[in-house]
Amino acid sequence: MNIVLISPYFPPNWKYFAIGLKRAGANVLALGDADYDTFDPELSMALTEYVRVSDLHNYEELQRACGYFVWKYGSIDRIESHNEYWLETDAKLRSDFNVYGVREHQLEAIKNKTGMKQVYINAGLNVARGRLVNNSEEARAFIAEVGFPVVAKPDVGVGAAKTYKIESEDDMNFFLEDRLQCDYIMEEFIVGDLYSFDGLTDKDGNIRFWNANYFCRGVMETVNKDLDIFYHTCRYDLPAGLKEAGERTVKAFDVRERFFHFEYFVNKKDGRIVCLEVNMRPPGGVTMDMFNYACDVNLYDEWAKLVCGLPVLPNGFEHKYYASHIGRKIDKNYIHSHEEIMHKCGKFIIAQQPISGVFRGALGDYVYIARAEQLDQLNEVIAFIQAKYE
Amino acid sequence: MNFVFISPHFPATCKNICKALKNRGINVLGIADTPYAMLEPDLKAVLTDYYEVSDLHNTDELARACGFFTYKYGKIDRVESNNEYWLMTDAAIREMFNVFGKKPDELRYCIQKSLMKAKFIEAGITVARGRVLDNYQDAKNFVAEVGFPIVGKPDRGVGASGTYKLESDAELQAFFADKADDTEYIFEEFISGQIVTYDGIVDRNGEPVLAMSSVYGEGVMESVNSDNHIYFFTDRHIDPVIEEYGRRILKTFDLKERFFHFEFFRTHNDGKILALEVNCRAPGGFTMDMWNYACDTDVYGIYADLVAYGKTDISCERKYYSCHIGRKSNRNYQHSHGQIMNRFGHMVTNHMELPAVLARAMGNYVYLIRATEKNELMDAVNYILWLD
Repeated sequence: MNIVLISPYFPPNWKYFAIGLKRAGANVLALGDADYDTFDPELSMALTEYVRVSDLHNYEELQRACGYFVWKYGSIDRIESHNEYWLETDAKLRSDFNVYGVREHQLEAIKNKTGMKQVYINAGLNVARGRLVNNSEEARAFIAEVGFPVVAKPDVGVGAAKTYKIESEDDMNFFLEDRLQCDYIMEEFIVGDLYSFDGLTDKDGNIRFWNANYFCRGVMETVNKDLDIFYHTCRYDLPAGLKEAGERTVKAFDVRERFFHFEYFVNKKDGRIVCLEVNMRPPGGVTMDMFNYACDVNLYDEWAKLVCGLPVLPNGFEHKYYASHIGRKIDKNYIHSHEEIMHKCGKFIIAQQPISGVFRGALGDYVYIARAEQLDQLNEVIAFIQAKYE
Repeated sequence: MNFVFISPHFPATCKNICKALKNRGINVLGIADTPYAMLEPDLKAVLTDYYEVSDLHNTDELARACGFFTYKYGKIDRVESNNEYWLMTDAAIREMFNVFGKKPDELRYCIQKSLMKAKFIEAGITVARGRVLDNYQDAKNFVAEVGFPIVGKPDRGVGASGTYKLESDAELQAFFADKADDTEYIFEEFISGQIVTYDGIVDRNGEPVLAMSSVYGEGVMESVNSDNHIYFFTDRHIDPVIEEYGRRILKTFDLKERFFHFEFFRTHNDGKILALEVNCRAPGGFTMDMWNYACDTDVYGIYADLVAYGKTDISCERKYYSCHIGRKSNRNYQHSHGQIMNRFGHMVTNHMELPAVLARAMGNYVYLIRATEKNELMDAVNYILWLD
């Protein structure tokens, strides 16, 4: 097997994909614009060959590099970055080298939020009412229909950048002035809890691993109000209908041999699962590691095995623990020091690390990954870590 | 622009295409299983690069060769062999490297005669009745429908090889007794008629830029099987029905930026036109030279212009009838080479002896002649082929 990994050094935990592939016996052919000398030695050791291009945005260089790999190793079997930012690049290269996996035309449906919404609706899943609004008349007409508050987001966009919660006429005017000059979709605001349903499918679209995350609050609110966040995997507390909605979403978007990361609201009023968005990639941050800790598995390895045709999780998996991401932000006035946390909660803390700058707004500056068998144990740890002076 | 030429050394006319491409600044990248040192000097001179593989049938080697070209020159823009035998190989590489042109799934219709027939019918073009048959009983039923003689040919075959005319039940039985199991055969009613072609070069939009029509004195199958001499000529005037059918076929088969060569029957009884087959390549033999003589043009340049610029300024008016006359060495001809050259030398554009492998289909000694008037041309044909 010849597997091309795009940018295997970012995020740092993605090195385990390369390591897993090497273990599974594949040629691990890496492409990136970072200096080889800066690589984590574990990564360097896993790579069969690395081709450094001057800029990963320069498609022609990538094309030539893949040509080089074909020349030296034969046809390419997979091209993967596992990274939202390079999804289209992956897809384009796959088309140009006839490689299995998601192609450009399949990304069309998930590129913008209106397209995504239509796929959900066609699959009979619930969505927040919403549509494109191009001017203040259309925006006001929509609000007349669903009432305040509403959420406005760029139709094409990653993360929560330039996303607005509009609760009043003033918010509305701010949105109209501050917005980007692009298509905006306006949606009714769903009062409810945010959950993700994540996992890995095989070539036939069967879910081979899954877990869900409960988020203490939405990413938009966390970023806009600069709050600290926690989220944790689920065990007994999985909301009714979430797994079914996740399974139907996998079918609707035809997710094959891929990690997926779907987001849902569980509506406070009636408990209905409302679909928010799909991501055709593994969940970000330390979530993959949380899943590994929660189920005592190695998903990086399992993906590599899946791709190389080796048996995946032959003994199944179990949601043995709760695993949680508990973020702290540097400018908050926390009661407990790092030493106190480690002293008091050390037996629950399975990992802890600083977070790369681009993600700090959403995830925090420093993260503790805690795991516990019971939810009340976990909640105590979370409360202790995030406790602040008024 | 990067043009991968599969087997650029064979047939020999390919080097003319390579040269025309090279003259337009295109990188001509050859792949074949012949050592570079064995290539003709004039071909070497026009190849930008050459990758020798041990066997052109080996897909992995081809992938690596094209990988190398992609690495060294960037995205491959075209993959062509202009050779019936490698058409599927071209298509497979196009698919591997996402290159403009027909992919294997689309090309099947231009190769498999049974699929071709279905497309002809879809285009509203009359065809000889026929179907794929794999046993004597089915064949007998088919004969009950259309009567003897019938013609059997490999469903995926090149040229007239492996083609049989079966005239009796005994022959039919013998055929199925001998037939190799792995070859699918299609059977058709025998059409007594003349072969007329519609061929030329089509541009990227599917518009024929060069359109020619050749008229055959005798079917190719008959020449091969009876070892008779042969002649055919390009017409100055294309039969309107042929032109209409030809254009419909270009559309239905969705042919773009390539040479094409369609064959039809014009029946002897009632002059009806039946579609025979589609070829997504230039006709073989000296036909391209004949086109050049017929129009005082440069067909290789036209093709290269279309690849490089999407259009051409080279004119190609059909000024002459251009004829291929092939004499066979097993016949006694009335007139000697000297007499021919003496009397019709002003019309002869080329003449040469052919190697034995080509002689059966094209003649041992070939004269290419041209004339502005048909009767002038036929006088020469009759003179050259006059038997003792």
